[in-house]
Amino acid sequence: VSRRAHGELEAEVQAVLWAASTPLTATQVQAELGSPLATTTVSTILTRLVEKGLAVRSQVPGSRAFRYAPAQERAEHAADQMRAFLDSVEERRAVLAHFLGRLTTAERRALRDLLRRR
Amino acid sequence: VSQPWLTALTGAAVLSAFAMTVKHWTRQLRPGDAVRALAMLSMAVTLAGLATLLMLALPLVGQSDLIDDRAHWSEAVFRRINESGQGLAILAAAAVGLAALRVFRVILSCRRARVAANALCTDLGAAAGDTVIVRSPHRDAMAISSGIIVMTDALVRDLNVEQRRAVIAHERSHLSHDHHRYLQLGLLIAAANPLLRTVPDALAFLVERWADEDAARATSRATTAAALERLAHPQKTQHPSVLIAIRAAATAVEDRLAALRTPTRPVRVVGVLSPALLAIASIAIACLVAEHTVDLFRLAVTAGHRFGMHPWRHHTQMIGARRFQ
Repeated sequence: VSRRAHGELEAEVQAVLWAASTPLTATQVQAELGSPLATTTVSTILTRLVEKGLAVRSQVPGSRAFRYAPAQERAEHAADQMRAFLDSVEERRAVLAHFLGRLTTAERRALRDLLRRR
Repeated sequence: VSQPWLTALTGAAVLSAFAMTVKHWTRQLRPGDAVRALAMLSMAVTLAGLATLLMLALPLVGQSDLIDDRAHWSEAVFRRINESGQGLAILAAAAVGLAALRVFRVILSCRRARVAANALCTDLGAAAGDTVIVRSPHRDAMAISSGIIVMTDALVRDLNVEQRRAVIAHERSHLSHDHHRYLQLGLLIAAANPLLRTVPDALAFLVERWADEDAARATSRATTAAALERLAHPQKTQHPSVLIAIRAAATAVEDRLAALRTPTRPVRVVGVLSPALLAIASIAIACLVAEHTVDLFRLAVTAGHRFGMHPWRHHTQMIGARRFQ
């Protein structure tokens, strides 16, 4: 699996953790992804996410397996940082050239308001 | 001798035609090709335009006392040939100066923006290739040029696995094809040439289409359209002012949805030819003006030479000899 594909898998695994209402084991994540990935690959990705602080893990009682959950506090913190950043920028068009997505310039202006108005 | 002001007007007309037809012809091409073609052609016509303006402004240099004293160019010849063109030369010089100033400002702000985007990624504790999920009640996703994807938790919860895969592939496409560089180039082009101010928005739309097509290849056209639709619809929780902004942008999203729902069309020749012809026309105009300018200088030099004042007599004769061989 290439480095880029790893990045995509990390994103997909994170999304699965966030979409779930309870912490998931590696096997459950693999089932949710619905792709022909080995459980070990999913475990490796989950371990890496924990190392990066993007996920948290807890041991299943009476078992050696781990359950993984999204890093909620970090996501709150990230929202704060994004908001602070978008508030601080002045040269909108040049900055927005660095923020690509579905958003057009008009929408991006709105993004700043969105994040502020939480 | 051609009329320089007529040439300049024609040039402006060609550039305006180029800018006005951008939206039309770029949609005849595959988005990736369209982005590259638009970036290259608008850069070519911008450079040709700047070259034209510079050459129109050159007679000012020939007339200045400083240069004239040293080169012994015939000031009288310049004055006679260029009596009508003097105003134009001043205008052209002013336009070049203004363009240089605007380009410089864009370069500075792009650099500051890059530093700021990198600092944000450091603050987020993320490295290139990472995806950060942000807690927000609004469905949103974006790619930061430093190599990071940001998605809101609301979006993630709202989409199924395949649709999320489409969003991730879309954002990855922005990063792997360096789409922000095209957007920056668009800003530079619009700064250098206000006649091309439609180019940045056209590029912004086209890079989204490019990423949509990559997402469609990674998943399917229907899945990508479904994911985009989930993103496009304004949510009830949003503030009125935000809704207005989103409504203004809604047409672009509708266009992207329509493009995803139609199967890929064959590339039409007209889509390739019309912008190419316009670019060739503007470069031809630059060449015409160049010839005019060269003629003007040659005449002035020859006149100065005839009065026996030219210190580079030998050199001038060499040029003359080479030309008439």
